[in-house]
Amino acid sequence: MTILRSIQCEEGDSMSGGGSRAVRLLLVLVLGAGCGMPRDPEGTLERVRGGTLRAGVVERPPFTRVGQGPPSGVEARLVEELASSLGATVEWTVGTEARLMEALTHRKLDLVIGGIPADTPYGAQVALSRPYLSARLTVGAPPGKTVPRELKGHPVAVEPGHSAIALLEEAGAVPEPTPQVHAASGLRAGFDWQLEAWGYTAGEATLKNEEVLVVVAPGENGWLRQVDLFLHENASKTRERLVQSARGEAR
Amino acid sequence: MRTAEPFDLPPEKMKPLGRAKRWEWISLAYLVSAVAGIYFTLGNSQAMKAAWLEDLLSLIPPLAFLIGGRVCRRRPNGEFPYGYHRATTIAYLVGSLALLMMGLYLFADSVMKLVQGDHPTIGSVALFGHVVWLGWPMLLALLWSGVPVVLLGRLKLPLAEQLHDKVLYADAMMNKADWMTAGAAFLGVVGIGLGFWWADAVAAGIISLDIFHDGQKHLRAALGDLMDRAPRTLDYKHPVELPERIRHTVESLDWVESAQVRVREDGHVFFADVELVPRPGTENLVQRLTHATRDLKRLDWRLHEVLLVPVERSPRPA
Repeated sequence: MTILRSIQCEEGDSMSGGGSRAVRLLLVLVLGAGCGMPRDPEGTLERVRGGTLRAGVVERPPFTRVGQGPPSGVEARLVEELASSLGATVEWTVGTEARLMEALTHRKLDLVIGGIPADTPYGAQVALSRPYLSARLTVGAPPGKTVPRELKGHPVAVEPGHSAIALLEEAGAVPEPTPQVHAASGLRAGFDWQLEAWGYTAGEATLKNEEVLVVVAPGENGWLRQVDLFLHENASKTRERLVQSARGEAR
Repeated sequence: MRTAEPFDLPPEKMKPLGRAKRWEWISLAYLVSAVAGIYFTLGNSQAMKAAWLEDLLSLIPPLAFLIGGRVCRRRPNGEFPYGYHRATTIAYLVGSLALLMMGLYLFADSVMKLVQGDHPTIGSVALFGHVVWLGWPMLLALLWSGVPVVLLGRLKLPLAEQLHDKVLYADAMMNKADWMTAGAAFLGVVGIGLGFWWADAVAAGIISLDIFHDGQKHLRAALGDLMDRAPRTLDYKHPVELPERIRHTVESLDWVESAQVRVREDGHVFFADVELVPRPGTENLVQRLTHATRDLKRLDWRLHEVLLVPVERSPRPA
């Protein structure tokens, strides 16, 4: 430890002289500065407060919907609410996930939404918020019926191109891609919040778990914490809105 | 095949050995808890990674002491006539190489992160319904890994000296210095918290240099031991006086004209070869040699075997 020792002012014994002084200094540092921790290296939170929140949007109904006018959907509304809680206005950018994530990496955006799962391949380059939603992908049965214990050979309606198709095949079920899943009769595959919206009973077997979160510019820890706190406070409300949104689509 | 006598610690050394073993077990348990604590709060802080690695590597000396200690007390046999004393040295060599490599890798990694301007992200965790910045548990884990360890080091140091055990000594010294590693990582995390993104990589760089430095120091010591370098003190700073004392003792015998001594160290024990020129007309040479051998062994409790070889004329001094 000679390298670190040379940084010390005295060649003293560890905890007695330099050590306890260092500990005291650390305590003063942490307690004095700790109140404002964590802060942003690039000052995102300060800039957003009373200014502009630059949000990127990847389309994934019902989390985000893109059309004429500003983006809508459950998460878009959430970002609007976050911005107004900080007295900021939202500046939307719609694009592909790859492009938006790159912009986020260079801190040209402050956050990106679009029902982004926790296992996003971009996770290493950007900062991930805490998941505000844990969803279970499973098979549901119509009201009054139950999902068979063994899925083998049972036809299951599923959205075309959904990741559930491969998982259903693994479980031995017969996936039937249906454009209007919410109108299909019999068993349907979906996330638990969708099944809830349709009044379906979710089965025991989990095809996969998905955690949904918001991605934030990397290293802006103060801003990330602000987003985390907001998501945490609004998590149950957001899930409720998702269910309502899915119910509205089904009508 | 002549095998060395089995080496047994003198009775007065058994107590410190038992205490040393107990403290090393306690060290292991504590270090595992510190490693786990840091692992669960790693986040993507480079400084935390470095501190974690250092803690992980500090498991090596206690393991080397406990396992090596077991192996090196095995009885010498036909296959290993000198016994198993070097087991600890080999454990040490392997451990120090690991330190060296890890230190280098981590240093390069930290420099890369600085050059690329990576801004480390430390998010939040949910604890008891509160969203807590992960930096706080990190700092707690670092305190746990940096404070008790120093006390352990101080307890082990006198035992290392009593047992003259290099592994235990190195371990105690590493423990005593470990608060600085934790302190550097602590400053790195606090730095991130204050918005200095570079503090993290700088702290990690300092820690990795230190790991590297420890590694090369121990590697040199282990290589020296394996190369039969003249025995040195625990801290490798001074040669031991034993060879000189043996020569002095042999030459003070009235039937000896001159003597040359060579001592090598095997783990805890010394093997000495002495070439002596008897005075002309010495009688009962074999008996005298036997007595002298027995007496010489009392010079030092670690002096395990003494070979006295009578020669015609004095060999060239080393």
